[in-house]
Amino acid sequence: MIVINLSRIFKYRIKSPKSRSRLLISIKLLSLVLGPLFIGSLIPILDSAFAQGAEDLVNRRIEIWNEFYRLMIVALVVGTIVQGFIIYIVFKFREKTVKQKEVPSQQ
Amino acid sequence: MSSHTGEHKGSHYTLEWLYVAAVIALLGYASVDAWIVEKKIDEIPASAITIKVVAQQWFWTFEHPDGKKEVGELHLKVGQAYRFEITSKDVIHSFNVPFYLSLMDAVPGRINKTWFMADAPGEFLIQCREYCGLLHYQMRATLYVEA
Repeated sequence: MIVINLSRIFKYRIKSPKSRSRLLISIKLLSLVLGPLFIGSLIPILDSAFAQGAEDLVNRRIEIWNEFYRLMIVALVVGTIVQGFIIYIVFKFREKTVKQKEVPSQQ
Repeated sequence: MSSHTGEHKGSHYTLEWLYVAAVIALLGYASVDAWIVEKKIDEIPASAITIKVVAQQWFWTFEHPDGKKEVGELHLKVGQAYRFEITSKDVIHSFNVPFYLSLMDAVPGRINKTWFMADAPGEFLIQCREYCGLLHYQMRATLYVEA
């Protein structure tokens, strides 16, 4: 069983001031990404909660197609992030990178 | 590679955490959004008119609330919501109106429900979407949506 000890991870990360500032930057950037998504997901819930007037007929065909396009956009964005990250890692740690030549040899 | 301080040479914690969180956030958003839409479209309006749909090899029978039956064709009014109570007399079929993205299995001894509101007048295809025997491909009907 794999147990992820988050407190241990964060303990050593916030030891140095540099790590602390990086952590703060991460939290701020995450808030920027998560905030709009969280608010965006609340809008339909609030909308349905306050729409208690006359019966509003849902057009299933339009709702389903809209959902399909939204999920396609999410899938493309996730794919772009994952592929972009992989390309970034491969490029950064490629053998020709001078900075990475300091890796101690096994011999 | 890792030193005793836990720092990795050339690592980018900010980028890594951002990457993980962004992917999780997007997938979370997709899940919540899909759940909300599904809940919204599954709710049958109270004003919907009930149509009984009976499937059998290899044709469709539709019964209106006034007892009027139609075989191989269905006449509906535009702008009206319809609730379909679907069952089968023999094997498993599937009631499908591709234009209105409506799909529901017709199972013997069971009444399944779906609904849609016809928003455009015209003629549309109704078909069986579950292989049900030799003439499955001919198990079609026509939906007439009238203004």
